[in-house]
Amino acid sequence: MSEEEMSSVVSCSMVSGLEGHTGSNPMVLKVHPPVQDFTEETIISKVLPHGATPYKFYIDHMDSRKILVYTFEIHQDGRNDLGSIGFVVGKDTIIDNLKIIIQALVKEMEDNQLLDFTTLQAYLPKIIEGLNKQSKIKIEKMKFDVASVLRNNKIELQLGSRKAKGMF
Amino acid sequence: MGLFSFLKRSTKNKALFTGLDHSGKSTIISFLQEGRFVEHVPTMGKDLTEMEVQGVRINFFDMGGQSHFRQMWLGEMDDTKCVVYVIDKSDTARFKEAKQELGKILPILKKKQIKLLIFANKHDLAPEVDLGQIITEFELANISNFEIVEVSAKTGYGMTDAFVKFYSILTGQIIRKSVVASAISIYNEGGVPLTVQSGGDDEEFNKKILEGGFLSAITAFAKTKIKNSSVKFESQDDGTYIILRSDNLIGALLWKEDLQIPINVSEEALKELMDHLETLQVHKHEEEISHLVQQYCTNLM
Ligand SMILES: Nc1nc2c(ncn2[C@@H]2O[C@H](COP(=O)(O)OP(=O)(O)OP(=O)(O)O)[C@@H](O)[C@H]2O)c(=O)[nH]1
Ligand SMILES: [Mg+2]
Repeated sequence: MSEEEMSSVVSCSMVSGLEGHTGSNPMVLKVHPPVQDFTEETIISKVLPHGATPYKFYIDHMDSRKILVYTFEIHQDGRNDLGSIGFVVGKDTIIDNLKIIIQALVKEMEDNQLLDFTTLQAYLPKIIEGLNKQSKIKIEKMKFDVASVLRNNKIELQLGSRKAKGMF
Repeated sequence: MGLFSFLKRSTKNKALFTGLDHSGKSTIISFLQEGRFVEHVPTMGKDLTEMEVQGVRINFFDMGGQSHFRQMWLGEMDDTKCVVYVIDKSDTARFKEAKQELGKILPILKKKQIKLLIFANKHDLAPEVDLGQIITEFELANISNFEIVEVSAKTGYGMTDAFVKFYSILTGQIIRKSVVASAISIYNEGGVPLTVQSGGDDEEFNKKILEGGFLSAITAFAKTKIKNSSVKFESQDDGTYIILRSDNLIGALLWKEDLQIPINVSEEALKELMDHLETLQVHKHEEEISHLVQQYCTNLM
């Protein structure tokens, strides 16, 4: 991992799922940006751990990289799908606070009927960008403002950021 | 509780639920635990839960049924006392695949002398597929040491009988199904009768109780309009009517002394039935109520 990746809030994100219909199997749908050693085989058990149920966080490692995963349901006519969004977190990222942001983002996507595999894959780059810049994540007509969630909860996403702000 | 006490937690009564994806394993387990239908997402690998019945702890190992996970079933057999194999009775197109997967575990069950209980699930969707047909298509006649039950984890059909069988296979102990109601009747919010079920299949009796005690008790109660409230009316001729209003329906249960169970058990059972009917949102399709209540009442009468 490069210095820049280490200091970002999240350096990579992945969308995975287990669909509810007959004959489906666990799958990694997208890794962004692509990482050479992140193949379906190497990360499936980390992004969809055994026993995973919706609306829970899971943390695992891939070498020195820490992966934070959040699971949720994707509504379908029949049985719902199990979905997950995972992030490789930077060394200064405050995971408990990142959890608050991810949970709020997923909830807002759900409330806006935008929580589906296609939308998640399409907007993954925007989600990473919004988290790293702590700015707005625009998904179709929905605007999720990372900065204002941080402000409302009186939290920071990275260690030392308050100190840094005070210095300049 | 000391450190590592979780390691000591007994898995003495371990039941392994297997069967194709979508057959209804998770739905069956939650119905056995909660007495009502709950929708699940597909099981990711395995899900462990436990339940205590009459002081006996049961460990449910709910295995993912998707092809990716089937290999794991075999790895879990070691300390298993009973393997439940769930078949979706309505999915005849997958009988061949279901038979093949069952075939893979049979030699291990035989070797380790693990008992097999087959749940022919989704009876509500395919009542016409009978156990005889399943026994033939799955060539079960060649297997010794198995039992088969017909259930629906959606309507609750046959769940108590299935549990009684499951419990005795797993623990070697007998529990008896108790009859908790002489009759049950469901009304809409306004007190209009939708269905009545009685212990006997006697239509005359149904008619009589509907027109008689039930209806007058309900008419009095329907006026109260307080949701999730209940009341008891004693009738000298019939017994005691327990009446309960849920969010969208009114349910009445006739309790008699000769049922030989405490009245609060019947009251609890009526509450569970009403929760179940509300979960299924049956008030939105009243034409199905009769069928659904009939299926659930297999557990109560
Ligand atoms: N109509 C009807 N539907 C049922 C019944 N039992 C389960 N279902 C439905 O069948 C679907 C699959 O049920 P699950 O319990 O998730 O199936 P499973 O066997 O655990 O599936 P995997 O976890 O993928 O192995 C769900 O949509 C349930 O609501 C039943 O008795 N009748
Ligand atoms: Mg399941």
